[in-house]
Amino acid sequence: MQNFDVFFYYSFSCSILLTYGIGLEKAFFDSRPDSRFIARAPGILAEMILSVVAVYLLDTRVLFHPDFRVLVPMSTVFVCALVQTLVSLVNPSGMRDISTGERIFYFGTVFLAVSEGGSLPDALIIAVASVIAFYCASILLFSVRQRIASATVPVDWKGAPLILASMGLLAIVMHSADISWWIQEVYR
Amino acid sequence: MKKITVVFLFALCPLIPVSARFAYGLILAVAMCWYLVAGILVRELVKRLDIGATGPTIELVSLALSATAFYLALSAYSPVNSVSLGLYIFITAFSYLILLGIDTFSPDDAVAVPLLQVVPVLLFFSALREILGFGTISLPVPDGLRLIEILPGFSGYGLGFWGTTGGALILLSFLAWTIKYLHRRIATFRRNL
Repeated sequence: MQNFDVFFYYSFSCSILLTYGIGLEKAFFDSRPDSRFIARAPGILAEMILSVVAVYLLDTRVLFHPDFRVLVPMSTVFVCALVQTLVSLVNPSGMRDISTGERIFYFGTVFLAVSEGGSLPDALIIAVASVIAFYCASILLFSVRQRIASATVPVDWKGAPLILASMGLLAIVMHSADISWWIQEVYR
Repeated sequence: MKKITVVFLFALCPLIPVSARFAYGLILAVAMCWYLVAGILVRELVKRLDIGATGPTIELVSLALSATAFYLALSAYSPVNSVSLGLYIFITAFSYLILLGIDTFSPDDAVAVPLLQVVPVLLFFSALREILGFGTISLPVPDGLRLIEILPGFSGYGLGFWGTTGGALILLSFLAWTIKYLHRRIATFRRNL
């Protein structure tokens, strides 16, 4: 139940996208009609899981003991870049067009999962929940974009302004789980 | 026009969660400027060493190192603020990467203009959010934040909603709309001249 609680919390109530702002710009650009964000999902998930395991073990077994905590950000970036290179060797076609936005989402998620996860399973759950939160938001924004394309909206509202407003409403909806009495009842 | 909107969007990542307070916006703006100075130095070094394909990775690790240096300096000045911002110091470093177009790894593409546009946007947006959301303006001090009351009696009529993520995104959408609207009106006016 506790694992489910952590998963739900990082997928919706405290999603990486809307609470920490990690991957916001990626969700914005990936929700465009011509994007390949669904095709990239297995690669991102594989990178994420491998990196979280590697960074968590490196941090807890090596860097925390002699208290080399200042090296954690550099080692995280280094390990993530290494894992990304390894995954790109296994699947070169899927990894050709990695954007900077995706790197930020990837590095940021690994960094957050390792720093907030109390144990390795917790860190893995946070990473997976973050990827799910990102994909949920991207799919919802994709639908919003489709509705906007076929709707009659004032020209100045088309594009970025309306998508930003939609993201704002999405943030309110995601956080509503925290204050909904029926969810509290379910947990009780 | 597209450039300005894109700068807005690129700045989203650090803007949204922490820009509810002007003090945090100010610290992140200083961090951005520090990354720019450190980034130019590292880029110059990498260029001179001519190390080819490993260059971007070295730049990334150097950026993480400069973020750590900034974090340590902030911890020494104000431990409370360093704890509050923590992760965002590093997230800002990644946003800096987007703004500088570092992944093309060509010194010719390293244009500092978007970064210099984001700094005033970050400061303006965080000040606006704090005034609308809390009725105050905060400044970073060693003990945390020093609050200066701008709207007296805010707790009676103020709307804290603008301090939340949802409020910030909706506020940003109004700003993006205003820019788009003004740009269109100015373009129409110039055409009619």
